[in-house]
Amino acid sequence: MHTDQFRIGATLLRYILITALRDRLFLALPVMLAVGAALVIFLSGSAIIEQREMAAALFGAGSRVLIISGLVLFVSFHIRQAMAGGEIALILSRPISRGAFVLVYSASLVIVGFICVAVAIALVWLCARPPLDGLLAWGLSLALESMVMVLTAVFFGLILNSAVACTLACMGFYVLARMSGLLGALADKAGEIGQLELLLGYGFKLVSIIIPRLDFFTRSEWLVYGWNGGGPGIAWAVLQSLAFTPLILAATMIDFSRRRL
Amino acid sequence: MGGQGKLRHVPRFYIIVLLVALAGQSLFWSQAHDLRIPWSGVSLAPTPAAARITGLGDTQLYYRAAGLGLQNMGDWAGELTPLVEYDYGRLAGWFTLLSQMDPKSQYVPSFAAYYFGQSRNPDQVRQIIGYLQQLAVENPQQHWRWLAYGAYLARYRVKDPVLGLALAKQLAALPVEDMPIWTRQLPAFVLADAGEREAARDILEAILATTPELHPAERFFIRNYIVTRLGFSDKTR
Repeated sequence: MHTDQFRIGATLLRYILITALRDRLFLALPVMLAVGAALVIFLSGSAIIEQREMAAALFGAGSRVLIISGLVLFVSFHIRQAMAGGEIALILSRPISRGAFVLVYSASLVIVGFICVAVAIALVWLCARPPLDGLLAWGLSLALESMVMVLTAVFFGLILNSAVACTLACMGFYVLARMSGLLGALADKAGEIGQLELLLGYGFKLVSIIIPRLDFFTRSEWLVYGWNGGGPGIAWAVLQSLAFTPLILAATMIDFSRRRL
Repeated sequence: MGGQGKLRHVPRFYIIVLLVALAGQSLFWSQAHDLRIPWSGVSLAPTPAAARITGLGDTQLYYRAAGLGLQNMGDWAGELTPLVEYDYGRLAGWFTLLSQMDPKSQYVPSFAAYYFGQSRNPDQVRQIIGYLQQLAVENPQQHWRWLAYGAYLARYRVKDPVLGLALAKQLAALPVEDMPIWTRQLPAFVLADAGEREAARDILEAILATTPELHPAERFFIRNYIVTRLGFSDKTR
């Protein structure tokens, strides 16, 4: 039984890698990243000093946005296409539970994300020569951030019936998660402004319990000053991933288990 | 399945619409390609919270991107804006905001001092001096050099020896151990420049008396300065 599930998992991973190749993800994303790197080298050359630091910060942030957007788009449309084409129903006709399907499907998409992150790390190294410790911390946290967003895209993709709605939901979630630290700080002071602001502050605090703190992840100052650049370290990003990953996977499994295909 | 058919199979009407639209777009381009949206001047710096939101929590990204924008502000697509037309009060707000976001970097202070500090309007340069002074006082270990540059701007750009002396004294009094000896001598040089020879001599002699570890070459320079530049006999020898 376990051998069967392992075989199905391997088949699913192979299927997703093939579809990523079919959808030109492994071509389009590296090309976009390379174009971005060329643009950043050109732009940062015009800075009067600290050109390397400029290239590191701009390309670090740009590649993060490109990778997260690319992966969210890929996952959203991949799930919708697989649902519409009956591919997911076909896979589920094999001896695999829905929970196991969610786990293996998510893990396969996360591996696709890790491949894209590896390309970004190589390009950052070529483009900006950041401190090695900072690059490792940045690369690890970008891998974790991409994992969190891929799992979020799987969650929205399996519960929403539209790829566009899924993409927009993921992007809204991403912006909220990147700003959650700052919004939390503003919510703490909302009571000083007025009653309505106080209520909104409480509302945000309630929501922020389940929103991951993505501002701990992939901080460009690691590429500029190394991983001891100040502020919360990489450990917070690792802990946040460990806390959020089971939460979003469990939510996806529960919702997908009761879904009619 | 798939692939592209031959162009002759496309209805002729579509081709005509395409050509007419292409002509319309070319006409638009001929009228619009010289139009430039005029630069609206230096905008107000946002609050630190708004800046962090704009950078999606990535302060380093905001620091570098906004810094590059400020460096090139007003000089775009072949248009050059004279420094006198910039609002230096607003620029100082931007410099202060950005230096709060990355207190270690020398990028923003560099172009503030070496580029925007070249204005011929003394009031504008005073804004830059104020920013550099604040930067050095808040983080002397990292930024004490900008106080020396502020003293230079005050002396030679603003031509305000009193301000120059105040900055030089502030620099000499900074609690930074590894500052070079010339930072302690700077008030004496500024005083000598203003004709206050005795006060300059007193400072230099105080340095000689309180700094026994001074390199012999440096001691010789100070004594020589007192004799040849300030015109006193060499009593300290």
